[in-house]
Amino acid sequence: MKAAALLLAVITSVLSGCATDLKAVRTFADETKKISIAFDPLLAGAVTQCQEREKFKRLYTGTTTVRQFDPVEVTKQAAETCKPIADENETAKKVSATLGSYAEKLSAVAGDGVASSVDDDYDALAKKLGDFKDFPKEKVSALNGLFKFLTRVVIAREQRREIEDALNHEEAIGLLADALVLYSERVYGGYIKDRIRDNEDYKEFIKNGDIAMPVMLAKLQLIQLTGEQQKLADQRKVITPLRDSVAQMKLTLRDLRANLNNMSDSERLKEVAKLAKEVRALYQQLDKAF
Amino acid sequence: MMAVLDAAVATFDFADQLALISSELLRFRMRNKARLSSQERKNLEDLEMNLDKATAKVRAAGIAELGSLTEDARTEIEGATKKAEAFLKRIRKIEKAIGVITAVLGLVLAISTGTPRGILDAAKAVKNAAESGPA
Repeated sequence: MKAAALLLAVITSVLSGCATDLKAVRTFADETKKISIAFDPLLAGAVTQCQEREKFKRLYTGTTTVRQFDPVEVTKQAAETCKPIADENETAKKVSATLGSYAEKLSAVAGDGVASSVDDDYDALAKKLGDFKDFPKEKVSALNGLFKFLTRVVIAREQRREIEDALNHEEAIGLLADALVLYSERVYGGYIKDRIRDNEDYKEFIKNGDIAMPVMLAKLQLIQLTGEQQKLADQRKVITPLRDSVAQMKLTLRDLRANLNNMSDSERLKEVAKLAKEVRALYQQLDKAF
Repeated sequence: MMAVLDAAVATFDFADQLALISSELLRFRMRNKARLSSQERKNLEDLEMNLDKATAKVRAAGIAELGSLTEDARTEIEGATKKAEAFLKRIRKIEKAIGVITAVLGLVLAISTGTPRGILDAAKAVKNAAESGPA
């Protein structure tokens, strides 16, 4: 009787170990992946802003006459000026790709059906055993249940260990994410800042008559430049939610690491919900900007 | 922002300064248009364009620094990703092993009770189960 009670206690304890809800880890991983994906348009955006800056500068303030002005040549020169950024973007892309792949695999490891993924295979095996006339059906069923249970326990334990290991790289993950934020602030954001400053200058030059053009055309240019400034302001606004998302991602990771034994707690879900909220805001701004 | 990235921050600061100098030159050229000769205006414009090229080069150097400053972290995270992949692969191996056993049992059944066609199908199933998934 005592032995049966002990066995029951062991089974209950093992089963409760298996039942750890990994939704918080999955959400963390999925939202981290989204951050890395959201970064990618900024790479192309930086090159575009750099090239637009050069083209508009030649358009508004270039010393060439209309006859000498060659749009193809201007585009070529702009591409040449910005080539170092386009080339080096590969480096920044590697940073976001590393973070994205990590998040993708973490999500897969924390997958809902990982521990029970072999159940269907065992069921197929049991069905096949059941086709043997001499094999007692009840024994097949009992063995199938036992194998399923033991495999689940082994996989769930290993799964938990893998998740702990994956979450243990807090500093490296934080550094990669910080590098993405720094790029967005200083390269992508740097060119947007340059262009906003240039556009304000162009407006001033037009108003002061430093750029000679007919009155109607001057007014039209002022309208267009004002619209362009609004567009640039929207594109610059992507940086803040990206920064906020990364900051929350780091806090969420810290929370998950500090509570490896309480993954199923509602507090964990609240923490990852904060991250999901920041990432949602990031995507909303991305939609407006691009 | 982690202090590790400070060197890249300094590079980006320098690039911003170059962009600002280019803007100052542009303002000077436009506001003094009447006083400058066309050659002087052209020379100033060339200087601005060269400063813009330098801005791009220095910003690119900042990105390269981001790459080198995060290299160890990337190697570490790539290692963690590979480890997670290996775990998922191990599970697929278990699935595969059970699949092979099931297929072999099917072959045994087919041999004892089935037709030549059934045996052939069961043998194919064993081959497929053994060849599917991770090696």
